Formats: sequence, structure tokens, C-alpha cells
Amino acid sequence: MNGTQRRGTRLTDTSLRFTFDGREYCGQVGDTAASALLASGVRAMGRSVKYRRLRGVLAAGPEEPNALFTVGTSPAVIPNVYAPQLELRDGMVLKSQNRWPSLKYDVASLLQVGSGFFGAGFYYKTFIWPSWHRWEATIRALAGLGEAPGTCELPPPAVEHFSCDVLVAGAGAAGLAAARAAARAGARVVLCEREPVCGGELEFEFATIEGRPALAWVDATLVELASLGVRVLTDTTLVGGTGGEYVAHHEPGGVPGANSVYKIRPVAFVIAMGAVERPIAFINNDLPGVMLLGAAERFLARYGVMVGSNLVLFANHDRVYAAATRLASAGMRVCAVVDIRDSGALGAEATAQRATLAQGGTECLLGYAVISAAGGSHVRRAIVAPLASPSATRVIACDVVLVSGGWGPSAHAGLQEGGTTRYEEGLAAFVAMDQPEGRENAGAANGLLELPRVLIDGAGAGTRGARRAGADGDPGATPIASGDPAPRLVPFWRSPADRAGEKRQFIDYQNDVNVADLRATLEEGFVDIEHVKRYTALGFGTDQGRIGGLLGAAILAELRGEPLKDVGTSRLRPPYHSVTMSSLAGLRVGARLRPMRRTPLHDWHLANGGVLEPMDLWMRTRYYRQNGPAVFEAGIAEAQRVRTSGGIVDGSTLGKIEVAGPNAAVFLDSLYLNKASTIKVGRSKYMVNLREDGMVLDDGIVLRLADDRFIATTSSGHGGHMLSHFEHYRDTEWSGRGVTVTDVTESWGVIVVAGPQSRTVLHSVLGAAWQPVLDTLTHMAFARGAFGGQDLTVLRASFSGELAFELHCRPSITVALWEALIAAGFKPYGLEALDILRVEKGYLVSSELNGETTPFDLCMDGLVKLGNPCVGRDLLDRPAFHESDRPRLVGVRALDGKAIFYGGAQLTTAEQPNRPCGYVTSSVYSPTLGEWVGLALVSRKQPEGAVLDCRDPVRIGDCRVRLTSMVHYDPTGERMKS
Amino acid sequence: MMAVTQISGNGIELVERPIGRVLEFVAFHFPPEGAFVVGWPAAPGAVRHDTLGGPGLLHFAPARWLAPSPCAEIAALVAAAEEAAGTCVDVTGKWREFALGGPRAGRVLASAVNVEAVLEGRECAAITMFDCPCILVRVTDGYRIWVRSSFATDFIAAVQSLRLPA
Repeated sequence: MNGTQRRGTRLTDTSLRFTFDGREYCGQVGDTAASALLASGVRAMGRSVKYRRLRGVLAAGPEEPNALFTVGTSPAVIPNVYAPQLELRDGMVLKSQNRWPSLKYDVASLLQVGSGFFGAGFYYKTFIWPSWHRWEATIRALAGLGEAPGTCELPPPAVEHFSCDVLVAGAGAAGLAAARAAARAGARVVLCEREPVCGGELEFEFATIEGRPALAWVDATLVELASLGVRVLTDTTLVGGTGGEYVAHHEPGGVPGANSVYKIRPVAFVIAMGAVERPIAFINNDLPGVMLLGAAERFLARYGVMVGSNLVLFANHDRVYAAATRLASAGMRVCAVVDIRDSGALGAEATAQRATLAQGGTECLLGYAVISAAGGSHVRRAIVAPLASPSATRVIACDVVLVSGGWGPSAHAGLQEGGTTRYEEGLAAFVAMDQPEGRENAGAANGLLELPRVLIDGAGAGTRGARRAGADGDPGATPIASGDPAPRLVPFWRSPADRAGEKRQFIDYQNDVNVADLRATLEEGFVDIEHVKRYTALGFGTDQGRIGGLLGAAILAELRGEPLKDVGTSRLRPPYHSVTMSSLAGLRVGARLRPMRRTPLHDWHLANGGVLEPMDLWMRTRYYRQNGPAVFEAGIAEAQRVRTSGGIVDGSTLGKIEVAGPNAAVFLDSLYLNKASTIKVGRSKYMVNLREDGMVLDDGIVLRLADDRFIATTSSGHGGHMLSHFEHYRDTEWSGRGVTVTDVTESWGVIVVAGPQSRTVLHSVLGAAWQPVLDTLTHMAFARGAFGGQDLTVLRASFSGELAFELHCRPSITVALWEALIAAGFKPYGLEALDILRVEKGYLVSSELNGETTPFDLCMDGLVKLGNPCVGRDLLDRPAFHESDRPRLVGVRALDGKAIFYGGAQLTTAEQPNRPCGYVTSSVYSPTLGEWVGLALVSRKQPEGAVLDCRDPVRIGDCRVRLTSMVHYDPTGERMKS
Repeated sequence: MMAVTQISGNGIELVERPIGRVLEFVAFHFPPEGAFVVGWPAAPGAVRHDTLGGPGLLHFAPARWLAPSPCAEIAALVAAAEEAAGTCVDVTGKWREFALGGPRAGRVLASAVNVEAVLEGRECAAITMFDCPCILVRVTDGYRIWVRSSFATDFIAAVQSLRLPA
């Protein structure tokens, strides 16, 4: 524990405590997990995925590949939180990842012994013998990052959709300049910053802007932005976008359930997300203590953390000297600055800084490289050598190696939805270009690294964004600034190493991809960067190639002997950094996973023992608990009651489409296999739709309300689909031709009253006014009237085989009417009983309308013969629809009258026991017949009376069945028409 | 039927309003041919206000209008339109009507849709909020929302479950 208070731009003096891997540490409010641990002398913070090599912090932002923590206590944990971005809170519990049983002693780290055998592609070639499944469990246990949360009891994220004129992503110098210029011009501006505070590089760079120190300028600018109404979202990262809408994710590190998702639709979008520093590959460049130079500067400026006592800096540009000066002035000993360039490459300012450093005792080596880092669990030595003579090595004792190989502009956001890249020679990096209208890069994201140019670029982008949004105010003067000089970078990607050393020159730290892997991949014939990525896992994982992507491409280019610009980088995809799963789910969590449609009787069902289940989005009652201990018994009891006396079922979920207009009848004629135009007013007809390809789409009853008005009912699960089908033809072939389509599904509650006593019960419930109507209503006729002062339609139709009536009533009276029927002695039944009644009668259940059955298959030949030229009719003449082995719907019963068989069972003949000739589509136990009965789709070659084997080895076993008529009960329909 | 307060607090108030007969009018052509009916909200998203100043006739989707609890004037307008070129369907029971008010009403809706974009250049729109089909209208004291009645319970629950940061 560090006993002294640190000073940093983000720290307060308030102390806090937290635990890491079970040990308690002390930090300060404002600290991140990484800064507090570094300040406490902790070097190792994680292990790599593949070889389980011990790793420390490399970066200070979301590009950090090594220090990923699991926050919280199992099962309520958040895995893979970037330690450098995890703002500490008192009492926080942190755990390192990819190790067992501890970070220091990890069993799987023994894999390092055999790492020579585990190169790229090892998995693909090795674990196929004797079977992948033999290895799967072990590999899955070793793979992956972190621990998955075991609970979802967190509140949903806060989601907010909004618009603005100019969205600026990144609140560094360019972003602040852009936001200020746009806001001054009068635009409505939103500024997103991934860090908890704004400023970016200005937090530590030697800079003055508009005559003030950089941080003072940042503070003043934020005050001005607030006064101009700019919305500043900190801790918020732009992670992706599509269709002009951008998604920003706010996740204050490690606080469960505190995440927010912003969906922002700007007129103009300025990408000022800066640049990511890249490492240089050298042997053992993954030892704890090897860190990016910029990260060390950030830890110092923000949190007062000195990342080491004796530093070696290794770089290929001028800025290393300014950084060394800052680090030295903070009290760290800069042992050496190792610069791969020769003296002629240095600018004047760097030359002067170098001289000052040398006077202070820093060894400044030009034309040198760090060949290797050495030490046990962390860096203790740097081995350096002149590039001209790499074998002439010398050792510099140190505890940290800070490396900087230049910067790669954050091209991620600029490469989505149409952006491409251009290679920037001066940076040896790719910059996003060809941006869609209204989107542009600014500052370092645009390839600019000198502060004056960054500010000009940012202000210009902000002004253009404001103008695009119609804001024509004065954007004000462009800020004048001075800062670190141009980097004068000379591209350098890896230090010299022999083949053995290349295995420890790491490119992608998280996935342990090294130079030897790239070489092996090329030798395997994978040349393209996208193939190399997939073969090696380069750029996989949470850092998504931010650290190793460009470095890997450059080394691949070197190995291929081609320029980097020709190799390119792999495609970048959203999200920009890891997003917690609950944010991806948004509000669709738990009960809100999908909408649930309720009928007017929903609450009644729940309150009266109804067991509900989803059907499409609807909730429907499967059975009522008071009728049996489980669905099987209750369904039988309910079905029996309907056959003997009667019952009621909630049919409100039936789709109902009102088709109106002078051409309504002919419109319906065009959509159904049989004609609606022949239906008389006050009558209805069972009708069948076809898809365009001739397959049956749906069936239902069509009621003719008036000459120019119909209601077409659909099955419950097809309501939305049928409406779309109708609307498609209404809006295309029938556009402007005197017909309209309106969904009235919820306008009518439907109660089906079925059973031999249904008419009697309705007499008592509906009253005397309805008596003559009920007595004279013939099958498929309906009458319209009122009940309780509200509209009521009584349709005589049956899907149970019994005398039955459908009551179509307004939702406001549905419950009252239902309860009146209950009071009159009828009890409700559910879908289980309904299925029993339907299958007994040979009516279609949903499994027969599976999109693969023609009207001929379903024994609807009579409807086809009517010759109505409807949608799909022409294709019914296809020869394939009439082949002898097409299926046809038949009834099926157990040969012995006792065996049980289920829907889905395969039917075979004795001659061809391994080749099904059909399958059972539906089956029920018929209480009326005292045996299992069903429907089946069977080859037409099998005649009624044929005996087949019914094969269901997994669920119930095999039995023998006999093909019968579809209609198992009341084949003449006397009960229904009584 | 009385108005029922479903949610109150946290800067929002969601009240279910009583709703009577509701009509939907659909035109055969879009845009409607000729002069159609005088005073008709012909532009998509236009709203004709009733005699009490409330939304009376909403052009919520192309060629499709909603007349919730129509006053005599609106009913006459719809009848005249039906004579001209379309059909009127009584959809009573299809929609449930809610008034969303309070200082954070807009923030509630922003959890589901970009209200500004949705209502840009129009007064009403048919949209999906919290996966529920709705018609949204901005009124002087907040918003009026018609929700498909089979989804209404889910809609209320979704609003109740929202986490609205300060």
C-alpha cells in the first residue's frame, strides 16, 4: 500500500479501499483499478488466453489487452472490464482473469512449456482426432475471457434516443474545438467522451492554447460549452452506428446496472476519437513492466502514478524526448532513451531535449533498438543493440520499458457504413476516408498529430457540421496553440530476432499472436490479412486489433516483402469496444423479452386457474387447473364436457380483417381458393388461402356483413402474416381499385360456445330478443345485434364437431358475457381440449399448415375444382404436385386400439422399414373413442386401411397403425348441424 | 368510464383516458383524389382537432385516419369522406388511449423512439414503442398515445420498468 497521497488531474484526497484477488488495497477517489494497483506496486494483472503468460498493464485506455478484471462477487459479476478505465469505488471487489487457482500460480501456464507446438492453426489440425467432442470440454474450459455472470437481476439499461445537429465523438483537443465552433455557430451539439473527464492528450502534453495552459483552456472551453447548451456525455463511448443513427454506450466502470445506451441521430458527425499508440515487437515485449509510453504519461498526469523507478524508453519518433523530459521531471530515473533513428532524423526541439536529458544522466542511444526485455515475473533488464550490429548487445538495468512505435488514427468509426482508408506515409498508418455525407474525421483521427493543426481541423469540422445543420452563426476564431512538435516518425515495427526469438515477439497480446505465428501462417498459404486474422486470431478479443492490428499488418507486409499500404488492415466492425450484454439487450430483458398480447379475458383466465402459454405473441389458455392435475387429464375432462353438455373457449386471438369497398368481394375472390362473392349477406364460408407458390397459407371463415363489406378471420398464429398478405395485394394489384383492408382483431372479443346444450345456454344468457335468431340460425349463418348495449355478432360455426356458436363482441363486454355463460352453467376449456375436439373431427391443426402442403395434400380437391383463379392457383397444376408419392392427409389409429403414438412419429412400410412414407402430424387421446387418434401426411400410394409401422424410438417406442378416414367422430356431421 | 392513472411520479404521469367509439377511415387512393373533403387533414401526419381542441382526426399512416371518440363534426367529416372515396370501419376496442404528461414525459418516449425525428414535420405518427404498436400525438400538455389494446398492459409495464437517470 502506498502511504502517501498522490496528485493527479483526476484524483481527490479521499481514500478508498478495494480488493484484488482477495487482497485489500488502498486507492484514492478518482483512481482507476490499474492506477491504484500500479501505485501499490502490483505489476501482474492478468494472463493471456492461449499460453497463460503473466501480463501487466500495457495501455491506459480501452485498447488495454491484458489487464481485464472481473468486477463483483459471483454470480453477480461483470467480466472483462478494462482495468485502466475502471474507476474505483470504495469496497469494490476485483478479480484477475484467465488463471487457476491464482494469478501467480496458474496450472494452465504449463502450456508455455509446449508453446512451441501450439502455433497458429494448431487447434484446427490437432483436435480432430479421434473426435472434436473428446477435446471440446477441456478447450472450452480454457478458452474465453472472464467469468459469465450467473444472474440477470440487474435493472435494464437506460436507453435514450435523440437528435442533434452535430455529434462530436471524442473530447480531446480536436473534439473540443469542433464542439465549440459548432455550438458558437448556433448548432445543437452533443459531445461524447469515453473518459470520465475531457481533454485527451492535453492532460499531459506541453501545450498552450489561446495563451493559456492546455488544461486551463479545457476547463474554460467546457464552461463555454455548458453555457451554449452543449450536452457533454462522459464515460460514454461511441461504439457503432447504422443508418445515420449512432450508438453511444455509457458504462461507469464496474457499476452493475448503471449502463446507458444513447441512440443519437445527428445531422453532422465529427469523429475526433484520437489515435492509438502502437507498440514495437521485441523479444519478451509482453513482460509485466513493458508499457506504452503514452500510458505511462497518462498514469502520471492523471493519477500521479510513477510506473517505475528506472525507465528505458524505446521509440522511433521525436516525441519520446518530450515524454522523457516530463517523466524525469516527475522524479523517475530515465536510464536510457533508445531511438532507432540516427541523429539526422531528429528535429531541433527533440535535439535540444535530448541534449538536456543527456546532461541529466540519461543515455540517449541513436540507431539502437531494444532487442529483448528480461526478468522473471517482470522487467529487470533491457537488452539493447545497435541496429547496424544487432548481435552487439548490452544490458541496461531497469524495471520498466516504455515503448512507442507511433500512432494509428482511430479509424474504427470512420470505416463503418461506407468508409475506406488511405495510407498516410508520415504516420505509417491508415486514415479513414470516403466518409458519407455529413461525417468527417478531425484531429488525430484524421492523421494530424501537431496541436495547432489538430485544433484548426477540429474547428473546421465543427463549423462545417453546423453549416450542414443550417446553423449560420459565427464559429469564432480558430484557437491558436503551441504543443509537442511533429513526431518525425520513421516506421519501425520489430527489433531484430532469430527464428526462436520471433516466438516471443508478441503482436497481439490478448491472443498470444507472435511474429513466428505470422510467418507460419504465410507458409501455410494464408496471405490475405483477413485470412491471417482468422487463422491466427490476430485482432480478436476485446481490443479488436487496436494494439496489434496495424503492427500485425506491417510485419505481415515485411514477411511478404510488400509495402504496408498494399497489405491493408482487416475490416473493423462495431462495437468499438466491449459492450455489456445487458446494453445489447436493451429493454428486452426478462418479462420484456418480447411483447405479450393479451385478450380481454386474460386476467380472468389467470384468476381462474388458466394455464397460459404463448402462441405467436398471444397468450392462450392451454387448460384450467381445476379440471385436472396436468394438461393431459385436464384436456380430456374439458373435451368430454364439451361433447356431453358444452363449454366455452376464448377465441379472441383469431385474426380479423375487415375488407370493405365496392370491390371487396372480387378482391377476396382473388386471394382465396373459393369465392367470397358468392357468400350471401348474413352468411359465412370456410375459405382457404394459397401462397403464390400454391402451398396452403391459412384457412378461416369469411363473413359477409354487407354487399361491400366482409370480415375475414384467420388462424391466431397467422393474423399478422395474413394482414401483410392482404395489404401487399391491396397496395399493389388492387391499389386505388375500391377496396380497403383494416385489422379489427382487437375490436372483437370472441367466445366460442360449443356443445349440445349451447343453444339452450345462449337462450338464457342473451335473453328473449335473441331467441328467435338462435332458433333459426343455420350452419354458417350469423346475426348481428347487441348485448349490454354493445355490438354483438352471433355466428353459427363449429370447429369442434358439436353444435357451436361464435360470439363476436366488443372487448368492453367480453368479460361480462363470458361470466354470464359461466353463470349459466358452461365451463371454460383450453387449447388442449380444442385440439382433441378438432383431431377427433378431422379438422386441421396448425401442424398440417406447415408451408409445404398443397390443397390436394390436405384433401381440399373440391375447393380447387371450383376453378377460382386466385393467387397461387396457376401453380397448382405443376406436375410435381400430382406425383404419386406426394403426401395426403389421412386419419390414423393404433392397430390394436391401445397403443400411444405422438405427432412427429415416422410411418414406414414393412417393405421399406428405413424409408418413411409419411409422418403423424397430430395425435390426441380421444375420450369419446377411448383410444389415440391422429392425422398424418402419408404418401398417396398408401390406401386407406393400410397398416404401417409408426416409429418413435426416442419418445414412446414403435407401434403399428392403420390409415383411416380423417374424420374419426360423427362423419356425417349430424351433431354439428343439429 | 373514468380516467385511470396508471403511473404517477418520477416526473411522469401516465393516465388512461376513457375512449368510446373509434373509427378508422381508409382512402382508396393516396393522396386522395381531387379536393376530397374540405377541412380534411390530408397531409400524412396531420391532425384535425375537435371542438374541444383535442386530437379528433389523425392521419396516422398514408391513406389511413383515426377518429377516436369522434364528435359530431368529425363524424360528419368522416361520413362525407366515405361518400367521396374510402371506407370507414368501426374499430371500437382496438385502441386504448393514454395521456402522458409531466416534465419527463419526453424522456420516457425517448427510451423507445427518437420523438423529434418521428414527429418532425408532422403532428402524429404510427410507431412502435417498447415493441407495442402505437399512434403518437404531441399535445400541449404532453403526449397522447393510442396503443393497440392487446399490447396495452405490456406498454404500461414497459414504462413502469424504465430506469430514467437524472
